[in-house]
Amino acid sequence: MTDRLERLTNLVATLLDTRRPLTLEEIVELVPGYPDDKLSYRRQFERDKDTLRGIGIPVRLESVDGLGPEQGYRVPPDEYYLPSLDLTADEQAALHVAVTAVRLEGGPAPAEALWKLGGREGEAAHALAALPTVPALPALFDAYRSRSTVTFTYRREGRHVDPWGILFRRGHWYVVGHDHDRGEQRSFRVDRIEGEIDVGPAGAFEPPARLEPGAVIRDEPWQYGEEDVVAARVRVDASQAAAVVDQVGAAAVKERRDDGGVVLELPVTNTAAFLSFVLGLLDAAEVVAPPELRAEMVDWLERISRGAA
Amino acid sequence: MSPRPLASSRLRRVLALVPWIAEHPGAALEEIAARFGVSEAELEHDLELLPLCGLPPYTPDRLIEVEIVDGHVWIRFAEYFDRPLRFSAEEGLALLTAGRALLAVPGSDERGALATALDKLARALGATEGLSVEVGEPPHLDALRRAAHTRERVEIDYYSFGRNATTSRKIDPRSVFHAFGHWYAAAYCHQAQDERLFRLDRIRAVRPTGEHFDPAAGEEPDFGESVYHPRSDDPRVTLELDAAATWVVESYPSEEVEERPDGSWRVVLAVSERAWLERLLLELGPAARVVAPAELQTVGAEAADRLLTRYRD
Repeated sequence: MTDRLERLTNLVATLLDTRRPLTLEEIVELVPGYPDDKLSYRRQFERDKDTLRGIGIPVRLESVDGLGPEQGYRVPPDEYYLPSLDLTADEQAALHVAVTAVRLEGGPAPAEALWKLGGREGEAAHALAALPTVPALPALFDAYRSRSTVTFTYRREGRHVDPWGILFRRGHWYVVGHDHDRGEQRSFRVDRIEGEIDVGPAGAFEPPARLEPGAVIRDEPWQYGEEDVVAARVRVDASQAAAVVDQVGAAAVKERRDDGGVVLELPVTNTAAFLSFVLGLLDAAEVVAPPELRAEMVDWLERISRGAA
Repeated sequence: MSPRPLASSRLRRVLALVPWIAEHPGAALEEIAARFGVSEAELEHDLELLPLCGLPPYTPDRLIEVEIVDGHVWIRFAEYFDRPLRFSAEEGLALLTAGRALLAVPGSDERGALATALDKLARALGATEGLSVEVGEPPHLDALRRAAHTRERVEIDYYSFGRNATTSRKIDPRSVFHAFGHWYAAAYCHQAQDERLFRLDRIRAVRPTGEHFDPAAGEEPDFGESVYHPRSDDPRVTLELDAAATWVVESYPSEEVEERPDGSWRVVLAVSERAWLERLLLELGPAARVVAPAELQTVGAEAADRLLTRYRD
């Protein structure tokens, strides 16, 4: 009996080498190892085809003569071959260091990631970082590369988005793009996308030139909301000032006080998330303005205070 | 047991091995095995298969030729495999992400071999822009990395989030690493007299001590340790949560969870520090109530009263 790997290798070579699509019958005739029975060889070929597609081989189903109804399979060489990257040995070694220093949880094993680049060059590095992956990420990356509009559910609403870019920041993956339904630029936490992502036809949009996803993203919880923007001022005491400024950025600092504290101004579109942020700082922070927001905080605290009475 | 995963994994390897060997005639088995992360036996097993492969009608002139002489390999007549398969989305993303993350670590050479390699890779992947990886740069990252590198004991002011208090302590930083969005130092803490993880964004100051410490075994960071694991002697708190607070059930390791018919919950959580419970209760407000123990039933209200004094001046 023919080894399955041998059959698969021959199948790839045959589909790559053929000039015209081959019908299922031609394939089982040409490639050794398929059973004689029609039902069996059909099932066997389906499994083989799934395996090839599963590792990224572009097995296309096309009309055999370009016109007629009879369909056949081939692997277009221009879609199969990795273009030469012309990496120097130093560059290969640097990538080896990168994949051993940075672990992508749930991604390919470090050694395997380099197989197509000629394997490991030079020394491995000590582990330095671990990043999470999210199941939806490869589909979004592909959609970004092919300029395809994606459709998905987010906060229980259907969204149609042109993915302009993908960003990892503070432990989370985001996709930034044009939201067709809202008619403006939006960012979405990829791990909060609900269900499957539907990828539309390629070439549907052109991302803005020189896009820096990191510069356009709104990644603070109090910016994730649909409310009108409120410029909220919060006083943070010296004990937490440096850490909070590090988080929100120095541009938000409106006042530096003699006691080491700061007053920050933040654009808030999600009041509840903003109040949670201030509450998380416990005794070290206080909502200063606008008065309505301060009153809302007082009201909230009073309800908690009464709750356990 | 299904043979499929093995076959597809070996196929991926074979489709990458063949082009490389064809391009490097006479390469040593030992080198190839090391490059591709397989044993020499596995490699020979792969190579034995190839002379059976080729194109129809599989006459000798249509089969791949493999020659192994004195531990060196030649592969001929495999023109259709002279280039590897393109990167899948997962592979391309993994390589670019790893490279960009490392390049984002402060102190990386922005014009070095990694940067130029990533440019070439990104161009081949059609992703020259549009994928950014930020790892952040907490204020004392450089000082801690240097201390870990030179094995220097340092004194730090550390803000404990759970206790909402800043204390000073001497630590021996063994490794500094980034895990899931935060930088950590894995260190021996002289105050706790035990190994501890310190989040770098909570380190308020670093002072040299002039002392050095001995390297310990097992320096590779254990990324899984960076998440909070309840200890058996941490106090347990029973909470009643409205349906609106369901996220708590999903976000924290609850030891007991009971869902009521009305969508509310009763959960038991390990709470090591009072400030942690205060934050949770302040954030949840009326959606949460402490059921037990009795002495913690007023934690939320007391914290709210304390904060209210700021607003009544």
